[in-house]
Amino acid sequence: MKKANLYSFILSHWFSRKKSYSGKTLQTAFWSIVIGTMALTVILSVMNGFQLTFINAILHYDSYHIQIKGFNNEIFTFFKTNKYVQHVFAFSEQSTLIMIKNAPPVPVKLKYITKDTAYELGLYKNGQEDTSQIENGSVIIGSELARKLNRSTSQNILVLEFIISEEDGIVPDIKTFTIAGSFTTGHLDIDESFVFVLVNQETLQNRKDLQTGIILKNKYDFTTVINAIPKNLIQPHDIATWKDYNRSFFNALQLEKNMMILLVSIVYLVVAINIYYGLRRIIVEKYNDIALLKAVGLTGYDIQNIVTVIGAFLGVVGSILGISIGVIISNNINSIIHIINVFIDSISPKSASESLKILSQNSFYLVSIPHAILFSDLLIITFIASFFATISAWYASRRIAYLRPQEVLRYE
Amino acid sequence: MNDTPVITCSHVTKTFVTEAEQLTILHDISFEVPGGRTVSITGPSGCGKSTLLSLLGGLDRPTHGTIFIDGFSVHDTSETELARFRSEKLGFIFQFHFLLKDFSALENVMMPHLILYGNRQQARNVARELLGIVGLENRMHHYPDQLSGGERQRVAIARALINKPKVVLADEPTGNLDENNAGIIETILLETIRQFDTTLLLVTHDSDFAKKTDIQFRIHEGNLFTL
Repeated sequence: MKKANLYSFILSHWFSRKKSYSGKTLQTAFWSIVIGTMALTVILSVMNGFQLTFINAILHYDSYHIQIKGFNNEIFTFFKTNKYVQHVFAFSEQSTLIMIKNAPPVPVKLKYITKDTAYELGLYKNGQEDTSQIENGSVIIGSELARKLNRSTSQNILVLEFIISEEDGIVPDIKTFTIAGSFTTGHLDIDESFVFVLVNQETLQNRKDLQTGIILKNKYDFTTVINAIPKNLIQPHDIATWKDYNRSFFNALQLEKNMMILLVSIVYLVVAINIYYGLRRIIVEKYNDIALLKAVGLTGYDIQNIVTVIGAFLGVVGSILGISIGVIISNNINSIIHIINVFIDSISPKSASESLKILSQNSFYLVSIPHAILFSDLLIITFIASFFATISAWYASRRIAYLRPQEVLRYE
Repeated sequence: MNDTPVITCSHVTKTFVTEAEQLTILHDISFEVPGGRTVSITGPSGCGKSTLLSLLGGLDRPTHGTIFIDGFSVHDTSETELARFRSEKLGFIFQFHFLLKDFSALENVMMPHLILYGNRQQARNVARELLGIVGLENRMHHYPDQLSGGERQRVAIARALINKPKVVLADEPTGNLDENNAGIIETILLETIRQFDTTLLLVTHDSDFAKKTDIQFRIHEGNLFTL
């Protein structure tokens, strides 16, 4: 407390009265930290938004949280009564092609589910499509696929399906399905390649490649749920979790995020060099002051601490301010882009405005920009900014240790 | 005032070693100064007066010999302990009245007290009192560049005395002042030193000023002589 009082007394006077050149260098370094941190917060928030919504869409429509090879009443009852499980259902899937007249076939993933499951997964909302009127064998297809095929509700599509037969093996078969509706996830990969065939329970049970899909209330509870499965009910090699299915993809996303942090951290490296030279100049400017303070009882260690505190202050306060602005921008990113686009509309000719717009819907498959602010990211950003600033200040302060007051104070 | 030595300097030698030569500035200097006395050291430029002052203040270390101030061993103590010793037992007055440019007169005087005790309010009260004693009660909120040379040196005197040190080391305190201001500073310095019952060790070129002190030394070719 005594030292803090002394350090704050000296620091407040060094930086309050006269604006020195080195003080301006440190101001530049401070604002660089603010802007760098703000940019990194917004970038990571949008990256997280895209990643999390994409991951959730994949888990919801494709891989689910847990998949079990096979389906029976015992398995269904076991998971239905588990408190961590939100939905449990049977499904059958295969990768196949949709045949189009005078055009190359379109690759799709065909998934057989019951109408109830389709409702649980939110493929259609009650009231929008009356489930009772959906015929057995109707399909719900991704909105982008429907656009690509130029098909709408009540129209038919031809699907190449492979039937597993005990006598003949795998037999190709072309089936006709009627489109009962379409769905939109906001992710092109899913919206252009998924076809859900809605069948009744009896038809589904007759399929030979039946699997169990499980969606958990919290996707990270998968280990708890798997550990609770009795060994005589399901063999361990028949169980796959969302992490097993998407490991390489999720690892790639994490790598992408880490690389982005690394690249933007270079900003902090530049700022650290700026702080280092700014503080070196301050030390030279304050050489007489430092010598005098040493002569009247301050230790070299104290003065090194004061200089290091300047760096730490710039890092911590700069990053907190940058994060605060970054969070505000992230939370209002769609409004900000809308305002910019309105402004572009108002100043540019109509023919050019669409190409000038940021994330125009004509060019990008986006309804809105997703964002997700993770506390761990904010902690990492603050740590990196503060670390670089503090280390550079400490490095700059080492010269003070060699300062001999008598050499300075003897001559002016 | 008492006869117990406050400064004990025994066989002190200081040699500067450069690439070209070895230069001995002080040769086997020994002296004692009893508490509460004023002492002057005179001598030609470059004779080692300021070097002796640096050694006594713990700003430099002797090549040989021992220095004790109020029982504290100055010659072989760690930097941290020396810093504490300077803050507690010593006051410095320099020729160029070194003041901290970004601090007012009051804050400059407060500084050694703040370093030693860390209490800002207490330091302010003591500093105000001292600035009153040196006649600067109306200039305490002025910054060094708003003060005259004589006023700055009075601030330096107040700063040197704020922790009631055992010894004040003054290096040519009037060397940079005109005759009139030099006379004022001489009077203030000697009066306040006696008022605080502190030992003053003064380095000066001014023989008249030196004669006003209780003990007078002269350094010639690195040797110390009592006048």
